Amino acid sequence: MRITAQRHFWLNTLLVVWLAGLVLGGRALWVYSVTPGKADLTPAQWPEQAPIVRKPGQATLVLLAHPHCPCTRASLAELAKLVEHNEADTWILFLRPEGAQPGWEKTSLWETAAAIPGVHVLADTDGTAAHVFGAETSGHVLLYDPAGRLQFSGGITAARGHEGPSAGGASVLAALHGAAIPQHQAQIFGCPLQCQETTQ
Amino acid sequence: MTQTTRPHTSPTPSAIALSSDAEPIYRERLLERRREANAIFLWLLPAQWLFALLLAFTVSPRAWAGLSSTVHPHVWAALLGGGLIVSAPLAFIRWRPQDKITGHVVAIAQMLFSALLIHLTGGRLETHFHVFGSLAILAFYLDRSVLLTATAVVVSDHLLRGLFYPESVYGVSTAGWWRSLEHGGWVLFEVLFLVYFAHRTFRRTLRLAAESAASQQALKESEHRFRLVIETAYDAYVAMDADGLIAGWNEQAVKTFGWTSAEVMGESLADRIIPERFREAHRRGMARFLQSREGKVLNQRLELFALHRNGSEFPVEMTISAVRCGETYLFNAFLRDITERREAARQREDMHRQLLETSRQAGKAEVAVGVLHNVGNVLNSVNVSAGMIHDTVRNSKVAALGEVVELLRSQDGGLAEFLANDPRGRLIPDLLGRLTDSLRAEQTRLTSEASSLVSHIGHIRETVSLQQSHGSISGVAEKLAAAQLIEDALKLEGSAMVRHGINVQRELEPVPPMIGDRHKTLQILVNLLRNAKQAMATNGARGKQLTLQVRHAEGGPVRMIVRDNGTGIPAENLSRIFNHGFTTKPSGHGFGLHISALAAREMGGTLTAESDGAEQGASFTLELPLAPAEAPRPTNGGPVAPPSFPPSVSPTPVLTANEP
Repeated sequence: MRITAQRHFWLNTLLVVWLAGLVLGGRALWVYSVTPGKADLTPAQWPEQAPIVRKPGQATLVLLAHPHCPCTRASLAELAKLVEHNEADTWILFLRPEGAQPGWEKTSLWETAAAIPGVHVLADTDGTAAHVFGAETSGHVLLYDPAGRLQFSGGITAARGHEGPSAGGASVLAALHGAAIPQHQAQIFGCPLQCQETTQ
Repeated sequence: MTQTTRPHTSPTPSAIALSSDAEPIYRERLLERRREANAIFLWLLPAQWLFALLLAFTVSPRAWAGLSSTVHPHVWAALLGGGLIVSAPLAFIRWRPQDKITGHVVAIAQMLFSALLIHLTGGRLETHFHVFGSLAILAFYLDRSVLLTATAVVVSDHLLRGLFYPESVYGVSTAGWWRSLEHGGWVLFEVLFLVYFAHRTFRRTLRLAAESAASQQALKESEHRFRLVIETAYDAYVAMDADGLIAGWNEQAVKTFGWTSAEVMGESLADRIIPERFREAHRRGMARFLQSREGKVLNQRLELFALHRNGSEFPVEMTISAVRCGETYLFNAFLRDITERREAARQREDMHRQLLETSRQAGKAEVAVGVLHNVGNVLNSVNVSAGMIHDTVRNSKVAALGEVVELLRSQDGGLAEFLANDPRGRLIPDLLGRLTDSLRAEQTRLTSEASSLVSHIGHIRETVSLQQSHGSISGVAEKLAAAQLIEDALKLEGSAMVRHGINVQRELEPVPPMIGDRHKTLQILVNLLRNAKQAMATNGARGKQLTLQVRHAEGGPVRMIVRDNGTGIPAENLSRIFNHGFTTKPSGHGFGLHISALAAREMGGTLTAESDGAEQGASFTLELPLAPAEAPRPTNGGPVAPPSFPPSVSPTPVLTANEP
């Protein structure tokens, strides 16, 4: 009887600690998931220094991605949905930082991106494009209208690595359809593109 | 902190009242369900943890920043978070498997695993099915509250996220609270059916518990009755398992063998109650049965010797049956101490023997009395004849003849004168004539009486010779002629028949010789004749008719039938008439027919009675076997021993009394 009582005491204590641990762990995961990455100043007009050529009279959609960032897989999935029934000239630029070996950027993410119909996939050597477009976080999407004006800049996932509807995705879709854009910016969830970024 | 050891189970609903017997069964069923559900989650939770780890290592092993990378937080989330999630439910399953709270802890953990897996897969729609699968598995607990706890976790997650960061759930920041309800609603949709299923199963469990309790109660009562039967049995009940160990021992066994149940249960049966000289055979028999499933001593009544606690042996009557119990056998034996019965049988045998001897002597005496009676009757006639001779001789006229002779001698020289002239002399011739007639008549009478006397004496000699021929040899089988025996019996009882005015009718067919004891057969026939005579004593106007028959059917025994038209035998007495001590005669002893029947049986025959009822007369039939064919004489010329009884006695001869 005494042993049973002691056992119950310890189990109940464990239950309390367990629930507390779950709350704390859940909160940490939550914070990680919803903490957005950084973004630099994005050019309001199509930058002439851009390593890609914009087609006049056609909207241009650009996604800057880190080829090894697992969170970006969700961004690719969302981008594929966006371009499925739209005519935008879409580019996915995978970062190849300075010092990286050629082919470093050819990951499964690259293959996934290349499999999206009508999408151009390029390596962003030394992060030139990211620098030009002011992108600092993988998954950064920019939409320029046929006139080369920036319509949207930000992420198209609701949280880090989380597929599904998001405010950014909805805004891009609205812009592509010529509808009123709910918001021109959105938080970006992904790995930092630059080496100096050590925190996620 | 006060804790109880009693497992917490849901109270039974008031709609179904459970008996005190059914309540534990119901609780045990619920606990069994709980244990089964626990067993599932005991491996499912660690398996999910492992899966989460594999998922994290595969999908998001590292987080990158330019060229540098670190372990991805998802890996730590899977390792530490998953470990944290499984820790408490596993501990509760291990140490509080029967408690209701364990199901709730498991439910929380399982739904958190859904959240973790959804997160690790980047919120893939497909992973959300884990929620619905988990709810279905949680339904194994058959506890609505567990399902509600799981539902509460899902709804709370959505409400909190919808409240603080709606985009993470709904993709838009403007989603209202109703979206949370919409998402939770689909969970509720499944949960409602699961709750319904749980509720139905719950009620079925209740019903089964009630039925099971009733069955167990019936079984318990049946076992109790069986135990009572065994314990109150007059026979000793001993059960033995396949290892030869005692597995059952009732109260009568205690009295029979002297060992208490506590002293012998689990002990070797052979060592306790089987005499040492039979133990090896017992072990061999056991081994043979277990090998071949065949037992010579099973399912039959046996008489053996058993061993008492005090070391003495005693005879027992025993039956053994083998009952298969799963893969083994249980041997049930019922034993009865037959010491008293055997002693009674021995005494009865002695008494029977004495009775037979007495009857034989009595029979001899009766025959002798008959002989003496006949001899006495004849002696009366002899006496009469002798008296008549004596009187005739004493009153003879011979003396008058002498006087005439003296008168004639006294007439010396003048005899002629005397005869011619004397008045007395002239009467002489006439006197001599009358004397001559008288003496001639005397001679005739004496001759007749002497002849009668010789005849009577011859009758006496014949009667005595008959007695000598029947009484000199007894207990030896010999060829008998049925008709001759009936005639002999009639000679012994013939005068009585005549005296009582009985008309005797003979229907004596020629039959083959039969075999039997001459004296016993005659004794039976004489007895039957006397009974018939007595039965017809009060016949009155209808007369007295005695019919004696000898019959034989091909292949059958010889039948000697004594039929009278006397008082008859009522049906209720017919079956008892041969019983010892049974009689309908005021002065009878119930001895004669009983002894006669026994004697018939000893000779391999039967004595039966038939009657159509009171005042309808009776018929007694004595059947004796045919004599065997003439045996060849021994080649060495030695004597042939007479056959001894019983020549063809069946093991259990039946004393029959035919129904009318």
